[in-house]
Amino acid sequence: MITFVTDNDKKNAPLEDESPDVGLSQKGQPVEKIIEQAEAENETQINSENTENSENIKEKSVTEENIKDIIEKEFSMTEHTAKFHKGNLRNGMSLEYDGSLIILGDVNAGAEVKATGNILILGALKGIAHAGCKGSTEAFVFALNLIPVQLRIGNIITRFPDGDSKVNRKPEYAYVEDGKIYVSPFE
Amino acid sequence: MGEVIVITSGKGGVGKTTTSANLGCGLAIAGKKVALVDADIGLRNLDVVMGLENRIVYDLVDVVEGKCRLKQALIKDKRYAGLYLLPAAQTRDKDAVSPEQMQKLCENLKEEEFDYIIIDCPAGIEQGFKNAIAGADRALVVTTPEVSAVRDADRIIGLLEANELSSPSLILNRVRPDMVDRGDMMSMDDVTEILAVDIIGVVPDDESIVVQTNKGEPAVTVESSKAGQAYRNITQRILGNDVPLMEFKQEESFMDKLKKLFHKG
Repeated sequence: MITFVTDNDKKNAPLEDESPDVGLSQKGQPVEKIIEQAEAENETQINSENTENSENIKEKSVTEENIKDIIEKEFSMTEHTAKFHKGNLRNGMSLEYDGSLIILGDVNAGAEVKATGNILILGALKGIAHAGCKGSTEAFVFALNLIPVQLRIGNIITRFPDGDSKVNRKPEYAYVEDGKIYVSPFE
Repeated sequence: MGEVIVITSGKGGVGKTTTSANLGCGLAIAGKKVALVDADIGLRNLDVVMGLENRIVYDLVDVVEGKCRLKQALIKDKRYAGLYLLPAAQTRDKDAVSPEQMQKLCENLKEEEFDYIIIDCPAGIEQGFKNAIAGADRALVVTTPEVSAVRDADRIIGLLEANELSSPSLILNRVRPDMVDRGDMMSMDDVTEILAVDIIGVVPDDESIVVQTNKGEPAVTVESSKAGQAYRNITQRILGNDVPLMEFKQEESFMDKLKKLFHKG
């Protein structure tokens, strides 16, 4: 489903900045709270109109077994290209791609990654990631250590709670549901 | 063939000039022929820190503009044979020199049979920075254990890598071991985890640096100075010798010992 292209690929055209106006009010959904909510509603309704196998996963409770299924079916359903980037993205660097991005390294504070599809970071995310930057709220952001300053999916912006960012967290992914960004552990 | 080392940081005031002066002196003490180049045109300091301000006749801009020969502009240090300073111009600005001219200057210095050419880079990421790194073979990034300095160091390392100066070494300056122990200051491990580069030295915060800088005699020359010892160690590592990183053990005061005694009881 995913095809890989090289850096030199012509498809890698700069994206237009289509970021819709996002009111500050929407910004400050504290993620920690949302996690609590997510844990409370064990019977998560999964909205999967665009999914081919939508029947199979509707109204399933989120368990360790089917969390993988959810990621596969819920998020990466559209066929698009992905780009690999090896190495750390340092302060001031930015990476944009029309498709999904897979980064083998850290995204440091001050760096920015933007993709029209999903973003997978095999490292720490400390900067800003914007998945589905053309407005798709079906995109997700995954990182081994998800401690961004700000996270954007589609036209939703969320700020992570202030505090000690040194905490070593487990792999997590962020996704959108009911217009909010949720963060769940990936197990 | 000589090696050109650029000392940079991004943020100002973290100790680039002090580091340049100390490493220059340290290498000269070790018997090497060293040229210190002040690339901070318009805001020169290295001559003052070295105590050579009153000997400046020609400067870097004069050399690149062909107003004098390179040898005429090089100031011989008053203490160590083999140590020379190429001062920056004070009445000009960074645009007076281009990266190509700096590259040529570095090559000319190498031809003068210098073992090490140390370039003191200005703060910032603009023209002055581009000039300073143009002719460099190797970069040392100076940072202090503060988030702002570490952020800037991260940016600088990214820019160095983009300019084919990969794997720069890090000098962590102005560390206060007591604050690190209390968890009030980033430790060496915290900084290296963020920046993911090799560390070449840790320099403790030391009053003698201020005293020696004001005197115009780098701290590396003072046997009793802790920071001086740290710089001597870095010098050894530049020369390729394996020296373990300094351990900062707080000397226990009498009161501390007394307190401990009571706690035990």
